[in-house]
Amino acid sequence: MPFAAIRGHRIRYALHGEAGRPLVTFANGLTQNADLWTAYGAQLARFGYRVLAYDMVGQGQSAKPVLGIELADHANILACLLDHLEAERTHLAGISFGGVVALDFAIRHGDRLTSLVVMSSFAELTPQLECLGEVLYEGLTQVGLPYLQSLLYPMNMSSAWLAANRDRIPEMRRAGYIGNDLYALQNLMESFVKFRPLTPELGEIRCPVLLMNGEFDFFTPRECHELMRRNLPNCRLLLIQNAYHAFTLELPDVTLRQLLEFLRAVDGGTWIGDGSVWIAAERADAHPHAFRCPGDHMRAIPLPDRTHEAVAGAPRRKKVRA
Amino acid sequence: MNSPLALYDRARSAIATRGFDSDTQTKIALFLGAAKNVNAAILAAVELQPLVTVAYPFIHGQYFRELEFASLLARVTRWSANAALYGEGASIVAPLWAEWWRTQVPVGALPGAEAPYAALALGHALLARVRLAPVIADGVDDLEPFVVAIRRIERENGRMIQAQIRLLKEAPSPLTLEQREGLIEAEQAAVDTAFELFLRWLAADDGVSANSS
Repeated sequence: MPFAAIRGHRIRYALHGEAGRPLVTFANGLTQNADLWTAYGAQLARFGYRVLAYDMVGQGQSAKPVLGIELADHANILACLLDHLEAERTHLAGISFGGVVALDFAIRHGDRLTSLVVMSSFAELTPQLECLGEVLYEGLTQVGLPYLQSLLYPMNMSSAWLAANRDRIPEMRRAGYIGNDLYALQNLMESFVKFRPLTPELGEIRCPVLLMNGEFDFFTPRECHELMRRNLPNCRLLLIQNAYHAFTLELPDVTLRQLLEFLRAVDGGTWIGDGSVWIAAERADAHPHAFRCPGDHMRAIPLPDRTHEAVAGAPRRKKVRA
Repeated sequence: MNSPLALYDRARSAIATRGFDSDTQTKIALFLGAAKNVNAAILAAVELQPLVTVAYPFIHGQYFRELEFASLLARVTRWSANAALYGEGASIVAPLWAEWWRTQVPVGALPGAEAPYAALALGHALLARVRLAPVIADGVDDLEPFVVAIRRIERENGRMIQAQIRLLKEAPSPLTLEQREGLIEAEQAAVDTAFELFLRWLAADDGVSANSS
């Protein structure tokens, strides 16, 4: 894979597909790298796109500055990488940490985006997410990188995937251990110390936005995506059935199909960003590829949709007395 | 240059073939022991000048922990009778000691404020980049004292490095950000180069130089 020197940092990136085609850029999540988008790149190239994947600073074989960088630097580095590649505009898809970077990019470099896909991500730290983040940070710094990996596998993947890949997991963990550096992951986590909610600025994102959330994602659950759905002016929320946080890895065929349908709708001018909630078909070759959510998408219990009614809302939690 | 994963794979594969024999254990103990001793030598400079700072207890604890690990390795290793290994090992770890020497005030090559910062950066690189767990082959005896020692050292490295991380990022320094980043990169590159050479040595069959690719 080629490297580029961007704002003093070495960036490893990969391009798939011919130059001149519409560009789709992928931003990886924590402990991931550009290689995880290789299959997506090959497939999207077949359908007429050019795909850019890169190791974010602090990950993979890109620079891992010991002193760290600001969270906002990631979006600026992406903008410079696009300059370096002479790409004026791009579709941008980011998962988890990469989703936050993608949102930040959309807010500050929105004129360069044709569309945005935010997967398993968030615009602000909900109390639950903040606590989970602290646990991950504590695990990394007090116990170590292998412990963080141990936490992430069951958080990211389903029991079915874990059972099916039981034999491969030790080797995947080993590769992840070699490819990641504790201090660099720690820096990425510490960059959230200064994180300010992006929610108030989501209204500035005018391009089409597809929010994708795994049905059972308990790391960035529905409430994280609902906050974005309610504040993005041109979006839809798509729920991925039987999926957890890392559905791009667990259900690549379904994910790819949904990405393709979204890209085609945007490029074909048929996209409707009405804030509606959809459910992706279970099979990648199903027709239609998605259907409207018939119930209350905020509930795990399949109750009828009451989100448009004047309901009292969830019962308030009492403050525990000291 | 091979990818880190490929280098680790080659080393693990070689060890899987010949087992954790005395030559393999000796190679690992020579390199890892040197990493521990170099870091202990860095920390010793602070140990001799105890300062009442928040960081001192961590540095103090790390100093003795590094000495403990160096002696643990010496104790659990089945040392090889192949005298050539010791010469080869010494040449591979020599750059690490040379880096340490550069940071020694007033005899080293680096000026005032750069020397202690570079020393910290060298300690950081040794704890962050020298990772041996991925060369342990599947099916080894997890209770073999040498394997237990490697795993224990690696786990502890992840905790100990927090002292270097906090000091490099937050300790007051007259150096600019660029100067600090430059020193850190230089020390990391030195450790990476030595460690890559070590992995090649570990992966090499008898009689094959560590320099072969």
